Amino acid sequence: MAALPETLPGQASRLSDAWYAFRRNRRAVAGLVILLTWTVLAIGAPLFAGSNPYRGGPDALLPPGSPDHWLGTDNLGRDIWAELVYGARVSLTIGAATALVSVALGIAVGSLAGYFGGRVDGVLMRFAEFFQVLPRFVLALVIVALFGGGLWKLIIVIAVLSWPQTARVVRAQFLSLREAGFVEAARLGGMDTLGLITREIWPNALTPVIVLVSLEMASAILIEAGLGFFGLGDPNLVSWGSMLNAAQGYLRQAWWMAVMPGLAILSVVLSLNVVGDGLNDALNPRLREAA
Amino acid sequence: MSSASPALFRYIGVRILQALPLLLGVVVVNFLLIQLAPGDPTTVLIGDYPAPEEYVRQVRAEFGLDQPLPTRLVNYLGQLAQGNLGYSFANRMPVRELILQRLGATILLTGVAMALATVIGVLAGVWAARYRGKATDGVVQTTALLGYSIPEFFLGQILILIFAVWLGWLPSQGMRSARSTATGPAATLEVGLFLILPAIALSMRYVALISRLTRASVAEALTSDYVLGARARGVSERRVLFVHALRNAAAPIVTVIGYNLSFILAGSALVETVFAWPGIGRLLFDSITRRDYPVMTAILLMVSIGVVLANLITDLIQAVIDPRVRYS
Amino acid sequence: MSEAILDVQGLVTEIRTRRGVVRAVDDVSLTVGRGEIVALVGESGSGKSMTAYSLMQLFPTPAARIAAGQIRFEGRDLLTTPPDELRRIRGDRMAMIFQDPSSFLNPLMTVGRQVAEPLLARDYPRNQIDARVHDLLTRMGLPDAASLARRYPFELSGGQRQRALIAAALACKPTLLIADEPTTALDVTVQAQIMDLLRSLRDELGLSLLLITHDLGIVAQHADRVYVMYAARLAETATTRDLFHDPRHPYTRGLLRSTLSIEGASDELYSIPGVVPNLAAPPQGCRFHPRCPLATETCHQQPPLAAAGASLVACWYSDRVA
Repeated sequence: MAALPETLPGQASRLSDAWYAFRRNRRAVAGLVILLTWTVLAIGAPLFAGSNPYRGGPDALLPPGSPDHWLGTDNLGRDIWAELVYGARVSLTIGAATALVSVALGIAVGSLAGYFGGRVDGVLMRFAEFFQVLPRFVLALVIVALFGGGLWKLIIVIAVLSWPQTARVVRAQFLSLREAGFVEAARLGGMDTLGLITREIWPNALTPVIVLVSLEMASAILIEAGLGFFGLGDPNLVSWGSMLNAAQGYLRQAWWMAVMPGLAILSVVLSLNVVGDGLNDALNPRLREAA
Repeated sequence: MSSASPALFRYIGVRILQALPLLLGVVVVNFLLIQLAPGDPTTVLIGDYPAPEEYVRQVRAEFGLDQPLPTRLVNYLGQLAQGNLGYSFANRMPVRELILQRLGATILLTGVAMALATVIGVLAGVWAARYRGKATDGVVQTTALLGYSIPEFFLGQILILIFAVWLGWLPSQGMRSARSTATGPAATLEVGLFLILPAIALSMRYVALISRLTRASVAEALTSDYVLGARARGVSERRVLFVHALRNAAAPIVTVIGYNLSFILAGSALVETVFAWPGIGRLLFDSITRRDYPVMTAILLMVSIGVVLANLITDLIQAVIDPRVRYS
Repeated sequence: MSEAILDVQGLVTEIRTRRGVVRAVDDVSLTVGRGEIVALVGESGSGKSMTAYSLMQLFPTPAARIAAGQIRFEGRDLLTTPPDELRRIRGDRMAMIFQDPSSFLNPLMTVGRQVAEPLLARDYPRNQIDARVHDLLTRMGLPDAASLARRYPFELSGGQRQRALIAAALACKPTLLIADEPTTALDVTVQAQIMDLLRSLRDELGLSLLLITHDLGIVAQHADRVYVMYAARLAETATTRDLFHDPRHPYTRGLLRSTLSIEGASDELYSIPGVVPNLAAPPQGCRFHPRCPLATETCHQQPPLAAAGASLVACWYSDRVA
């Protein structure tokens, strides 16, 4: 059985084809560049911020274009640019961590349901259906309001409420691959279940999940922004949502307090969505032909 | 001309039976949240308010808080069955009345927003599909992408800035002006004016979703054999688009609204907060800032039950639109 | 032959593909007389269906277009007719039915509403539409028309669907019906019923029928005249009788041998050697020559359609085929 390929022939070239198709999608590439820029800003926040976003100053509500504060200041005299750069840390951390945790959960549940089928599948999918009807945002609000916020708690809560979509996609992939020839061959060759799932099926089943990561990230960032807007973000960290919360009281005096963080959220979510679309088109050669 | 077949009734029955455990499940989740919250469950049931001693005792007795967990669950279900959602000390009235008072405003806002989203989304989607690959298509698609990516509450703030603060065209806070004495049609008109901005803010995301879906389904239908067949029968292009192709899009559109009720209500909560719209969402925001827990958990419960029912109704509408569903 | 209601000259239909422009129909001329059943025969990919779509000027793909030729129908030039009028001709004077009745009916509309569509499109008195639909369905041999009209396509059998589609096609009493492989997707017994139905409609209504098919059995039984297509071009045309008795094109002969030898049962099923050419890169000259036992250097030139025996044949050696 040594001659059995680990993956379907052409898996590697399929990915390089996809990357080629992705690169030719100018929108998606622009989105990726914006995401990378925010990532660099977030990681190097102390370098790029120019001032401490937690320390106010005497110059409150300065408009954009002011000498020391090019994006202006908020009601407490904090520099908006510094707040944006530090806020990016919160949004990107929550987005990435939530997407990874929820997709990992989804892959685990979807793989089990799809591989074993039958009763295991029935029970797990009922479970997934239940999590799907739970109102994600309102439930997250109430949980945070009752149990308290904090960055990691937010991540866990949003992730635990978000996994079913991935689970469904992975399950569907498993159902179609479970009986595939190369899986059957490996099974006859004496490979155990864990090996079959991780080494035979996963490499061929998980491309659609790549798209889900970007979409889950966008949705987590929107949820975090909403929680922050409701005043339920991590109280110790500046975030884009909490900036919009503060801005609500100053809409008439200081439009920039709302517009700057709002545009930041929009730019990240929009980028994630175009990257998701780009990945989807690139990984789906059939659609590419039709376009 | 509807064919209300036995298959349809059987399907409805099965779907209702399947929804029951989900309903019980969301109620139990709510119960567990109250029970497991840090501190005393009475705090959650009463709120972070100094309540009279005898009311605390009454709540403890009603919900059997000195009993073991399963008994408490039964008590909780019993209280719910009687329609007892608790008392809001922050608002000095029973939670049920409070919610009923605010429900109308939310239904008005979300109903108008979804109607708006459907009309605009469908027209834009059909238009884009008809001129697929042309400039119009690109404009619709790009707008949809923006609409899908912008947070509702930020869009709301932008609309307030432009139309209320800078242009001064439209009101932006509340449902009627404070000094208003208008009645009858004048009052309706006034509410209508107050409704414009929040409805646009709430609908944008669904305009985007529906136009994308409509475009995809109509475009798919336009390349189908049955559209070719209809054209061969001399059916007009308008009928091909709006009767044959759009029918194909009806099921996904119903699904996107029905299955997204929880997101619509979440969006409504945020938009109501931005526009001080006196609905459930604004009530939720207020209850969170005032730590008025019974209101908060009751709203969660209402929304959860609403979502389960909306999913159920969506499936039933699907079965009516697409007769094949009944047999699956 | 009676007066021609359809007269096609030099029709060329092109499809844009990734590998360039393909001529799916290449210089095809044909006529259909009033009340005549004319068969257009060929293997799949020969361009016979594309010819049918060209006559309707409706294509399954936007990449197809008519590049040259003339289509005269009831005396008027269809290729210069404005789209709006063309739409009024479709379904009214000229109708079409298709290979797969399941996919050509909208799954989400009742059968009755789809049969009524051509009537709705032409100001037929509204209050008489239901009655007309029931009458049509009954005439197509569908019992209990009133309840059938309320059903959805998935609730019907394949034969019932094809009958419903024929009813819709004939709702406005057209003079020409183009039938694209109308029985291919159906069971054998149903096939015969549908063909008998089409034929009786011809006899009763004086309908002309252009029958697109690859089934020579059906042709032999039902058609008055035959056109044989090979690789987008016409190979031969004759009356059914002459074509079956005295085929003059080597391809026609091979085709007849490959299907009809079953009856002779003397030898194994014959098949023409070689494969149907790729239309993106067709052979030069006569397109059959790479597979033809008679081929010579001459065959690198395209032969004209010329009289040979009782047929018109596009072959340099038609006199040697006999």
